[in-house]
Amino acid sequence: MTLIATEKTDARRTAVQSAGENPASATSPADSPSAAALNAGTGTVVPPAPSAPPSQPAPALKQAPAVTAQIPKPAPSEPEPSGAARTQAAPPPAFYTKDLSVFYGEKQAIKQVSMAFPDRQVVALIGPSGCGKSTFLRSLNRMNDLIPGASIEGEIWIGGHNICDPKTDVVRLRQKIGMVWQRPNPFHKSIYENVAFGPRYHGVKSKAALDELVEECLRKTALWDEVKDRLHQSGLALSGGQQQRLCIARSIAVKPDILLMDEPASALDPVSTAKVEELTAELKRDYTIVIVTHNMHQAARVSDKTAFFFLGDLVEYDETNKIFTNPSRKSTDDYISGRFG
Amino acid sequence: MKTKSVDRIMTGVIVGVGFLIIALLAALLGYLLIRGLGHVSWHFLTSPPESIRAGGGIGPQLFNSLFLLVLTMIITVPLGLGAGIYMSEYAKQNRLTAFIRLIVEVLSSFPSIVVGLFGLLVIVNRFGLGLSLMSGALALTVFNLPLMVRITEQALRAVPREQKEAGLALGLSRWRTITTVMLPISLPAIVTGTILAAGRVFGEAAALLFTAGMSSPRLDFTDWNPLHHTSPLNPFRPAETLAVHIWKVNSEGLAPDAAQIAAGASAVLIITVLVFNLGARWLGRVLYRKLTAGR
Ligand SMILES: Nc1ncnc2c1ncn2[C@@H]1O[C@H](COP(=O)(O)OP(=O)(O)OP(=O)(O)O)[C@@H](O)[C@H]1O
Ligand SMILES: [Mg+2]
Repeated sequence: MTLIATEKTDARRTAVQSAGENPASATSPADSPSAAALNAGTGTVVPPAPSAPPSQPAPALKQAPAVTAQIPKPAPSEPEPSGAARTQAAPPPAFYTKDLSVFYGEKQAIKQVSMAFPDRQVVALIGPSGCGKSTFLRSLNRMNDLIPGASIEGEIWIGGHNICDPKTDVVRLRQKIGMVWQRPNPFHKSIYENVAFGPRYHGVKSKAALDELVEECLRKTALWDEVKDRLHQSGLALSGGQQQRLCIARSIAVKPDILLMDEPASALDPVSTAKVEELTAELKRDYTIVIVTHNMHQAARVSDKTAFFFLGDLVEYDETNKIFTNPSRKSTDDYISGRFG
Repeated sequence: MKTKSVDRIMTGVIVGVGFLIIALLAALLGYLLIRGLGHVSWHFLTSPPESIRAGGGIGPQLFNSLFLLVLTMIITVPLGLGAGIYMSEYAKQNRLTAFIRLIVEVLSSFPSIVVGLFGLLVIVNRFGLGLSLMSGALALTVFNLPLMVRITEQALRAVPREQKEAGLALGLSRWRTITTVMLPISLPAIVTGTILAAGRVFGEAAALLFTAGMSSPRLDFTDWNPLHHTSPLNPFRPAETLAVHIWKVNSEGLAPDAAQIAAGASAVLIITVLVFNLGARWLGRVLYRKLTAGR
């Protein structure tokens, strides 16, 4: 497994380099490892053909050379998800941002962040309050557009499309990207309807198919046994932890490729938190997950890679192990060990 | 210690004011009902008024009020919903919309006699609709529409942002998010607001004096063809409403029992408005439960 993954990664790198599509990457020595780093995630998904998306976010390193300085060796945890990815017929596309900036009016909340999200892995976003984690996360499905005065610059590539392109059909896009909020926000509808609502809208009409889908999603979120007798009661009558799992069930019911979670467990008790964490690990088999958390232990437990944000900058982005045991930047170390933040 | 006693005094004051208001309301209601209810009978509710003899009723006026209400609502509810949805969900927040919002506020607080005169000049004379139910409904629209817009807009704005985002995040279009996620949540508020607005329409007199008129042709309650002149459903006939009738009977009534008729009509008017209010709450709750759970 490991071997194959590595080979693919290498193949990608040579493909990119030989194609020479990005002159910038040829000049800066830091660039090619970074391209490789980004490819390490995407390489398992995108067929290693020269026709793969050319614009790998090489300039990522500008603000954080330390991140990119190291060539990620396939971590022990990596082969597993990539193996899972390849058993699927049509793996969901990987995605990455390139020089993504987000503004609220004049104020820049996110400063030229480039990062790639490896397929079927969990990426944790950490950083002190107000550093832009939610803003960044909400930009990934263009949800931040809803805020008056908010605007974005740069690129977000998902499955070969730059979704920052004004021509992007955001409605279609959002179906492919599930979202879970800090506070559970089930629809004011029955438990059943909360889950069935999205798929029905997208064309699943038959009652039997819907029933099956609802059960499947509720089972996946470990909620089925708790609610199977009261599917037609209001979703608001559930406990906070149950509501949050219902919201996760709702978002996976429309079969997204990516799940964005903004502090999904911060309003929950320890038991519910543990359940949501288990669930995240479970869902990783099918979805690429980006999770914002203030809980360092949670980040360490659930994520494969961790990104540390500070004042709108992506300071460090690396394997979670590395971030928590041997971070390259001092500010990361300070934050993780609780010296500020 | 000190905060505690201040707290106690303020609580006492607030409770006192509350009781005062309730007592006033009860006294007013009681007075009107006791004075008027004695006069209310089936005959009173169904028979036409008499101009000089005693024993007249308020049948046509009651019908006119209800019919005018329905007409007004048919005009204002769809427009108000549409404009409210637009203002809250689609319109950009800029100078222009702020200005529109200001105009809407001003319009809804216009003195109704001014609206009545405007109706007379523009709707009745200029557009040639004459003194008619339709003119009355259009005049009422002038201050009911802004109210509906504001009710809808505020109800939609009160929907938590996460609800809207949850709809959009599922890949629903904006319109579908509004209709299937947000409107069900805001519907109780919209329905309650609408019915309360209806109460105002029902009790309005000044704006109708010069638009719907102060007289009613002999109505033939067996003829329901809206095109016939004496049909109650004809929207282009003059129509005196209950509130206008109260005013007229009180100020220039010649019948010997004019005072009782006014009192009886007032009681009917108040009861109807009360029923609207209670009905609004009930309907709002029922709708909410229907729309949000089960299915
Ligand atoms: N609607 C908004 N309008 C203007 N500025 C905003 C808005 N939302 C967020 N900001 C600003 O953008 C910056 C990033 O905010 P964001 O909510 O993304 O931080 P965060 O990292 O998610 O913080 P927290 O951990 O507290 O959730 C902050 O400085 C904040 O003040
Ligand atoms: Mg946040």
